[in-house]
Amino acid sequence: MKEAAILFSGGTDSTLAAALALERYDRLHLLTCTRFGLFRPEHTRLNADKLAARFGRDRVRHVFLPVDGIFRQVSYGRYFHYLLKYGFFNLSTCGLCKLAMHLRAAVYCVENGITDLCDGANKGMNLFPDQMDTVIEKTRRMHLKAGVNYTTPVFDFEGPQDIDFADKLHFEKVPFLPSGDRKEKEEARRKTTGWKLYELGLMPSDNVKGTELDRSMQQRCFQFILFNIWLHWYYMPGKSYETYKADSLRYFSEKMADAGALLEEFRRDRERSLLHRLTER
Amino acid sequence: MLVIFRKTLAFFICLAGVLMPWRLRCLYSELLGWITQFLYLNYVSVLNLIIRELGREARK
Repeated sequence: MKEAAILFSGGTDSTLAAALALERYDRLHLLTCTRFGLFRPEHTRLNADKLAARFGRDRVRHVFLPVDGIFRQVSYGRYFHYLLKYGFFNLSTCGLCKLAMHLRAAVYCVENGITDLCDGANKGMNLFPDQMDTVIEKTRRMHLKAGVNYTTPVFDFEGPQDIDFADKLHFEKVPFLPSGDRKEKEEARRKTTGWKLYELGLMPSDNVKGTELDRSMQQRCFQFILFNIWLHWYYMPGKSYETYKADSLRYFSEKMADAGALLEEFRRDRERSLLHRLTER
Repeated sequence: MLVIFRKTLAFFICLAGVLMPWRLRCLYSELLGWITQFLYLNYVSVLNLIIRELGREARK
């Protein structure tokens, strides 16, 4: 039986990644990581149930994995060193949280004999370090240390066309304002994760991002706010995206090296390893 | 001027955040999140109201 695991947040990207994986694998483990500061993990059951109903209940296994200990280690291990070297980069909570989830997923895969792991990383979310192609490549190499093959099946899908603040104001309702090229918008819509999910019958419309339904299918977390304040108000003024991407890669390369060492120790020493002790079950 | 104000404000907000232990940082972010959400929703509601009224006027 071909098995794989997926980091499952319950959102549209990871749901589509799960749906695509279920077309290739006999059984899929949906791994939802929980920790202090992530609220309403039960929301993720909504799309997990839809996937189970669509592809077969015996083919989908949904598990909740607490990552408090690993997240603390990833964020605060050698903290003084990181603080002096990278300063406020240590507020990249979203990237660090995702790194903790990757470590927990790797442990799960090793313990359950699974060699394939994927997630819903998407190029449309490239301000988050964990969704940058360069950081994803580092993550892939880190997973190889645990013998796990990590892929991002929905990375090249487009994000929704109207997720911007201005779009949510529905300017098209005002008759005297131009509404843009409708044909072009229509074509772009067909390349999104939302459209594919709609085609598969897993979503009621092709763009649910930012809607009440979107909020009711994934965990709620406000820690990106502190990251956003740092990024948009403090760090970015006067800098380009390329500089930010390069700095992020430098920071996360070192974090990944630490995480990779934890994984190697886990593979070697299992119960005696630090990662094993940090892993809540 | 606005950039300098934002940068200074962000510096102190981030300085507090970066010195906090992780659970406290989570709660701190949560608080910032609620404040942001309150401001954002007010902003969106007011702008939506203006757009609705503009639309109504244009249709008349």
